[in-house]
Amino acid sequence: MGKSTGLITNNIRALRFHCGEMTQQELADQVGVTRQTVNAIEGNKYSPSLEVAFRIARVFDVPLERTFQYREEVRAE
Amino acid sequence: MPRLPVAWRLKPQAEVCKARGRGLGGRTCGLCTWSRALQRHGGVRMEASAPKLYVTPTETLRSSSSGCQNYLTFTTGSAMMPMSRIFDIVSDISDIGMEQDMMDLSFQEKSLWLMFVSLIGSFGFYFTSVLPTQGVNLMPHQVVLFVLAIVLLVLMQVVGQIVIALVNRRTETDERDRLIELKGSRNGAYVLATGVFLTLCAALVTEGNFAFTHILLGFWVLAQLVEIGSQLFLYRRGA
Repeated sequence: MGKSTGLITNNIRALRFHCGEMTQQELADQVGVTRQTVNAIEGNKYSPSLEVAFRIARVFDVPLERTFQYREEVRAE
Repeated sequence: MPRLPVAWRLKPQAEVCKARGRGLGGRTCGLCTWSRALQRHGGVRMEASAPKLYVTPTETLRSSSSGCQNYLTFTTGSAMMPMSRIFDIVSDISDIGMEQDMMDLSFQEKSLWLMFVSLIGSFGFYFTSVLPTQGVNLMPHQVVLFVLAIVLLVLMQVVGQIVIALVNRRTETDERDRLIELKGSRNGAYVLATGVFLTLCAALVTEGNFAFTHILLGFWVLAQLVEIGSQLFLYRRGA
C-alpha cells in the first residue's frame, strides 16, 4: 500500500479575473475574511474551512468543485 | 498546445463583457479591466486576437473593438499561452493595481511585532539590570525594577496599539487568525510547561527565592516569545 497525500488547489485567481479583475480585498469583504487570508488561500498556502469555501464559491456563483479541487497523490513506500 | 485550466474554459460564448455592451452576467471581464489599466500605463500594447494573446510591453496600447470577443475565444481552449504566463507578464507591469503578494502586514502581524519588541525591550532591561547582582533572595530594588519593566511594557503596548489601530483601518480577525493564534499558544505552552518543571527542580536544589522567581519569569518571557514568534512565522508561511 502506498501513502496518500492530498493537495487542495483552487481557481480563485481565474474566477477573480472573470469578475472584472475583482481585487482580493473586494473578495475578502464579500466572504468575511481578511485580504491576507484570501491571498494565502489563492496561493494554496492555507486551506479554508468548508464554510469559507462555500462562501467563496457563492461570490463567484459557481459550484464548489469549480472553485476548489482536491488532488490525491499516492506515493509508494 | 498547452491545456488550459478548467476555470478558463468555464465561460460560455454567450457571456460577453459589459464594457463591450453585451453583459457578462452584469460584470466586466478581466481583459477589459487590464486594458483600461494598461491604457493608463501608456507604454504597453495588449492585442487579443485568437488564437493567441500578445502582451508586448514596448508599444502603445491598441484596444480593438472586438477585444472581448477574442478574449472569449481565447477562454474556450484555443490559447497558445497559459493564463498563468499572462498573469506573470501583467504582474510585471506597474500601475495595474494588482495586489502585492503578502508584502503588507496585517493588523494582527503589526500587533504581534509590537508585543515581540516590547517584551524583549522591557524584560531585556530588567534581566540585564538584575541578573548580574545575584543573591539568595529578591532585594527591594529588584522588585522596583520589575515594576518598572511592567510599566514600560504596558506603556509601549498602549502607545503602540493606538498607533497601529490609527494606521490600520481594518482590525477584524478571521478563522485563519484564530488558527494561527491557537498554534502559537500550543508552542508557547510547551515552553512554559518545561519552564514550570525546571523551576520546581530549581526550588528543590537552591536556597531563597531569587533563582526560583527568575527561572520562572525567564521561562514565562521565553514562552511568550515562542508563542508570538510562532505566530509571526505562520503568518509569513501562510498558515
